[in-house]
Amino acid sequence: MEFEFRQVDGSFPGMQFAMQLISEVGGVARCIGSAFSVAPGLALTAAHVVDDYLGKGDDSRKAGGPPLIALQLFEGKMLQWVVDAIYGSVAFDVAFLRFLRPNWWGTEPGQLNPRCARLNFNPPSLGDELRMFGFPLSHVNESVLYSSPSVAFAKFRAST
Amino acid sequence: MSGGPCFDKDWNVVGVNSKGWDGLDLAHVALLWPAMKTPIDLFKSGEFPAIDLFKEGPAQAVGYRRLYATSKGESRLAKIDPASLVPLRFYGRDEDLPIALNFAASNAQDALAEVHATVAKAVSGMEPLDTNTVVRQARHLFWELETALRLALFLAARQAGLGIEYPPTWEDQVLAWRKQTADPEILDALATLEFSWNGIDLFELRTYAELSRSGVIATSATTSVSSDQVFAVSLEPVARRGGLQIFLPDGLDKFLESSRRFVQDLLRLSLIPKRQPETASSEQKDSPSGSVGSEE
Repeated sequence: MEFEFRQVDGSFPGMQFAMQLISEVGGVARCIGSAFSVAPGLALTAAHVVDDYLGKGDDSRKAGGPPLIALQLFEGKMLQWVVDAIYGSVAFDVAFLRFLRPNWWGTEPGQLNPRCARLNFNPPSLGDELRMFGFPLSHVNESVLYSSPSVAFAKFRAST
Repeated sequence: MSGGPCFDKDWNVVGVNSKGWDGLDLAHVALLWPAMKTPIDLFKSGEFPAIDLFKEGPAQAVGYRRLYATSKGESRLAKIDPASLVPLRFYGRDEDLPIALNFAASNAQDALAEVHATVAKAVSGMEPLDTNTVVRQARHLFWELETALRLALFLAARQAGLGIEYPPTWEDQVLAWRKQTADPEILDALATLEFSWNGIDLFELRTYAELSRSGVIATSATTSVSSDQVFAVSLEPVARRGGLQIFLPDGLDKFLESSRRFVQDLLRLSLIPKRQPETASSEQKDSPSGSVGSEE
């Protein structure tokens, strides 16, 4: 698959490690959600975003299935990661995506080493301001990815 | 937005955008920590809990020490991140340190007096030996004397302007002092104090103070078979290899005396005015031995 990014503002901090997940079924590509890089070759997303790829059960995963790629904008380049394994925690709506190692990744000259998000395991406190980032209105049309990064500000209310 | 990162104010990711965001009022965020028990096989060399990836190195997460994945695959979160517990390190104003020092010394004296009184009553047959009181007051004596020594080190460091902002060890203090001055009078006095610090009395004092915190100290009494009259009481165990039993109560007096001498000498030294380099230099030149001017 080849895509072209449009309508993207790369200046937002979240853009450095945010990803758009593209699924291709029957030759038709579609945006299914967002993800973000947390370590080289590993990203996090919501489990329900990839539920077509997960079997039943909390920690199930399924190899194969329709191709799933993650697109990451880094230093003005659109990088493609190919998902080769998913480790879901369905009960908590979190899934880890493992990527195949691309030949462009690395620290050698000409290779790229895009940033990863720093995680914080401390739960927010009531009233903390949070910033939610994603690509809610992105879509693919004739191999052009119309990307619409968006940020929403929220205050943390409660844990459920 | 689903699957995207949810940031805190420092741009750390605290959660994954989850189901239920209506774009207006309500959003759901899946927190990260419960999912960190998830087994992953990132390196294709076998599965491990995801948390292991975020404990160290460039991927180290904020608050990782709060999280533990159990052997049964559960995630547990501690109530507080130990990294957030930072002591204020306010050790007191200069003018309060002597008061604290005197307070510790006074407490030590009181403890020693009570050991004397308790043992005296037992030896005179007035009362049975109250071993709990003896041990308790011996512990207080050691701890208060150790406190007084530490406070004296700190006070001396401040009085001498050694630039140490925390209670120093003796070794810290000697190092700082030697860096600060080449004054032979101070260095000689420092060397004498070092003999005392590393001498038997203060070594045993520190050993007993530590033993009182981390081990067991007890008393041993020699009594008359016929009348249970107490003849002698000693502190157990012996503090050091080749050391002698401490007979109570007089055997404890040396700890108070040695501590007092050390503190007095140290504080006196810390108040010696600093010589100007030129003055010290000219005095060194005038020295008949000529051996102390080697720094020139």
